[in-house]
Amino acid sequence: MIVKIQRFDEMISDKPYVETYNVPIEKNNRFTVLDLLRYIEENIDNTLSYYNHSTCNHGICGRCLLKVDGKNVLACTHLVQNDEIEIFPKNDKLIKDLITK
Amino acid sequence: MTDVLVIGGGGAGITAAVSASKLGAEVIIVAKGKIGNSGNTIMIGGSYAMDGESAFTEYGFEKADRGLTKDVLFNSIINDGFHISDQNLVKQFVDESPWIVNEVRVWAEEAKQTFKFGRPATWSMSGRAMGRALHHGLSKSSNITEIDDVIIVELIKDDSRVIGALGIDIFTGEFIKISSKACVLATGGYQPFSLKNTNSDMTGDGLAMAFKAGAELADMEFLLFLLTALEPNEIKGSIMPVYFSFFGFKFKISDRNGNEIEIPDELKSIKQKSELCKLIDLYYIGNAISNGRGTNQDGVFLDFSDSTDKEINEMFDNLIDYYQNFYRKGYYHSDNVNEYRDIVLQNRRIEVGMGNEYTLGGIMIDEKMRTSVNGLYAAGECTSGTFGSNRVADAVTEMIVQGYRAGQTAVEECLSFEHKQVDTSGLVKKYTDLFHNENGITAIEANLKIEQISDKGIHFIRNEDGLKLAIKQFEALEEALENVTITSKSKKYNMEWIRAIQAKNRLICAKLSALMALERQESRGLHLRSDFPYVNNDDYIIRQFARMEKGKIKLYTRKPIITTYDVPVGGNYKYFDYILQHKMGLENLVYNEEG
Repeated sequence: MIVKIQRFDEMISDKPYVETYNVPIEKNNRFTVLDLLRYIEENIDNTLSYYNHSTCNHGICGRCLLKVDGKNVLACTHLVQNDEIEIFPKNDKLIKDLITK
Repeated sequence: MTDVLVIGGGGAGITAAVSASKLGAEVIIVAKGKIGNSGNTIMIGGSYAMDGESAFTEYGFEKADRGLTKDVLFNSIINDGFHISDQNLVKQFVDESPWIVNEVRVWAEEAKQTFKFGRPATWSMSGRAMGRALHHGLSKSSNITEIDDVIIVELIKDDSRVIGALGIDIFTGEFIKISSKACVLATGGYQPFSLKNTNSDMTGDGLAMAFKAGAELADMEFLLFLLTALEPNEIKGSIMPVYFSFFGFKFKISDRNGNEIEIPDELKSIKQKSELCKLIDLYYIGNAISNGRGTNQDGVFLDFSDSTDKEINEMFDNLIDYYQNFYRKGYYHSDNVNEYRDIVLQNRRIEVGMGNEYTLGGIMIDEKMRTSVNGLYAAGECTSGTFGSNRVADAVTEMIVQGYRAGQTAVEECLSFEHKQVDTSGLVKKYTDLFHNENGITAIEANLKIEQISDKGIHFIRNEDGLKLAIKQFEALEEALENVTITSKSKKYNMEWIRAIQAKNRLICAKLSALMALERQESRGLHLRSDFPYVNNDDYIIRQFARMEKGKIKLYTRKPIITTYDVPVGGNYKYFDYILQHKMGLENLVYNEEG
């Protein structure tokens, strides 16, 4: 699965860029976007920041909102449906990677 | 700078802030997530209650069951907790809960949130509704400053008392120092296992901070588990399956090979009517899994092979009707109930595990919510002592009845103190120095290790060898964590950094849990030992405590505080003989929709 994620770290550059990860996961595993991000963080790149503190994981708190393939969704409930996926922050007030104000 | 600093943004923290504000104090409430929308408060899929007599006579609920008096509730909490509750704490819980339960119910009404009444005198709600009701109560109060998304990492002390706290803003990475006259910890429990049905961040921060500041932690060997979804993957961690027993679903529980895990009939009937269901599941499912009968994920199956499609559809239709009081139709929180049903219809079985829901252990308090450290108070799940070795009354009630009292005591005892400033640059350096570590364990690895060790060593059924091994592994991990290494050097939203801090807190809690489980050479409540399967009242009607002395953990015991209810005697009861002989499992503690 090809996963494109917008990254931003002001210690590296003042502009965001898109990083592409090749993730060895089949889409029929019923992974949510949050599962996918956790997989990348745990197995590929532990510098990736996404909303991951005090999370409910069940669509309760509504704080993990992201832009996935151009649509605003909750990362914890949205199932990964294609072999390629684009994950962007919900707005352009960037703090770090997918984290915004 | 503030009079009262409240740490934690759930029910205990919010009620503490409100009561302190009512007595005229200035309050800062700070939470790791968003106040009223984080922690385990929003994970509630349950209810809270008061005694039926108070509901009827004091608050006019005519359908309340007056038979559930304060005395009945008091005795039941102690009896079902296997008699190691501090009875002064149970009395505070029972006596003071009606007022605050009703107050929060009024907040819910004003905030247009659904709290549904049921007998005996219980209100069911969603976690989100509880969070909104509480936040409404908070916003009605004056002189309260809310600070979201800050993890408090250290309590600041002078020679004699807690005088403030140091935290990190998770989004910016900046340090925040708050000076206070009194501090209330309301940080929730800890969750050391891999299967979570809690909020993701139950890392025992408050327990660990209190412990490092000299407070005593107690009863850490008791951890409450309950049935938790393992499939489908997107709802893994949901406690929806817990409802099946209460809604009369007919199913067996079967092991990895499809063989039934048998539960005696007399216990099955207790299971359907009382909160003891969690303990009975722990015993039978836990034993099956410990004996190698679990699935690869330490799960078992809810087996519907004896039910027709029509019966399955009816069971789920009833459940969906009930959930519709609180959630959009067809959902429990955001978990799709119809998809769950489809899997049951298709496979006639569905995999579930036992997830850790709640920790009985925590900071030792008295009935005023004082800890043993001056200026430090605690409330809610981060405390210990009310429910003994098995909780049957509501944790939702616990958080607000203790929170409200903690805020009051903090004001009564501390308002006259002067603020004090101490140099915290050394403390700050301790945390920024973590960025200089190299080639060590990562925070992710450390947390996975805590889970692996806990899953094996302090899970459902314990034994001496397993506990000793777990303690050794925890100690090795403690050493490795000294050099925990952070890859990204940016302090902004650096979860490696935050997770490293949390891992150290979580590890303190998990290790104390193993140490106390090793010392308790019997089975009692939620602590089950395969090598000591008997309930031993002669030697173990005791509470275990730990405190730091000169950098070392000191363990000791004392008898629970007994006020009115005498403790039973006699060693070597068979576990379920004890439960049946002592008439445990008060029936009407469970939500009953009729009425």
